Amino acid sequence: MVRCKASEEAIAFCDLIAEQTACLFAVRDAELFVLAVHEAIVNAVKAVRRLGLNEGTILLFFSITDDEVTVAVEDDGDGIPKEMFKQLGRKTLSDVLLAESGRGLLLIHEIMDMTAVVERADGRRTLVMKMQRAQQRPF
Amino acid sequence: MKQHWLSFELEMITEPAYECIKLTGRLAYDTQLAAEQKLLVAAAAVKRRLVVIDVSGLQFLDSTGLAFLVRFFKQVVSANRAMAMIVRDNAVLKKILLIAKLDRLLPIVADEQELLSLPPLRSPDSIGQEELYSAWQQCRS
Repeated sequence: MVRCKASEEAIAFCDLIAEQTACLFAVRDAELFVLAVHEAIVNAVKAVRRLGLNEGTILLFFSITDDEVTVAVEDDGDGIPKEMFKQLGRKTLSDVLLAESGRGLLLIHEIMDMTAVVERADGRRTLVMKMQRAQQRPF
Repeated sequence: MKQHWLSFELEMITEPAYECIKLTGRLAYDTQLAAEQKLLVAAAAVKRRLVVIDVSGLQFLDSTGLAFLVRFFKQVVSANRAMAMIVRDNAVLKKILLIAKLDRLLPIVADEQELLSLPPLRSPDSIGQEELYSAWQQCRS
């Protein structure tokens, strides 16, 4: 688990962790895995900033099994807006072709093998996503 | 897709038949201020009818970067110009552009040669986006 202050530094740091995780645990598509984690972290940073929390943090969790890598992202903000997540499955990247925002979550959904939002006891939401591991691994 | 550079650079090259805009570094959330400023200046400086964006030098592209590319595309087309993207051997960038379905907006080609071999480009000074895109679609199928 990694906890960082929601900032550009946190985005860069989490990108590096995602790169190393993708490489070490040989996920199905390392570059796209990094992009999906990056998008989730950017969403989390934006959620904290939306609430104007100067000291707000984001949390990044990894869970690794023989078959897959699971990533969870939480924030001190309001997480992913419920309406936005409800649109997943109904809305695709084709629907936002000319839009100048709103692609992040759709990219995550497209890239990862599984995406879900878990409601926490305090009403906030955690984004959980999974990617399969490749057959050929460094270890 | 190594992405440790926290910078975004843009270079504009005027060729006889088109304007080439080469992007390098990161086009992402954390470089958005620099990207917005540089793309705005580039859009205003375009003189040729055909604009080619070379994204092969990008080391990282996220949804914010995709939004910038779409905004730039809309600016180019609204000025009655045509736009295409060049990816060269950057397979990761190409994959991201295709996932984002940008191939439904504009031609995404390997290099200048592929672009200039499209039939309407025999007269690139009068090319429109629709004409360019449909020529590319025909060549694809």
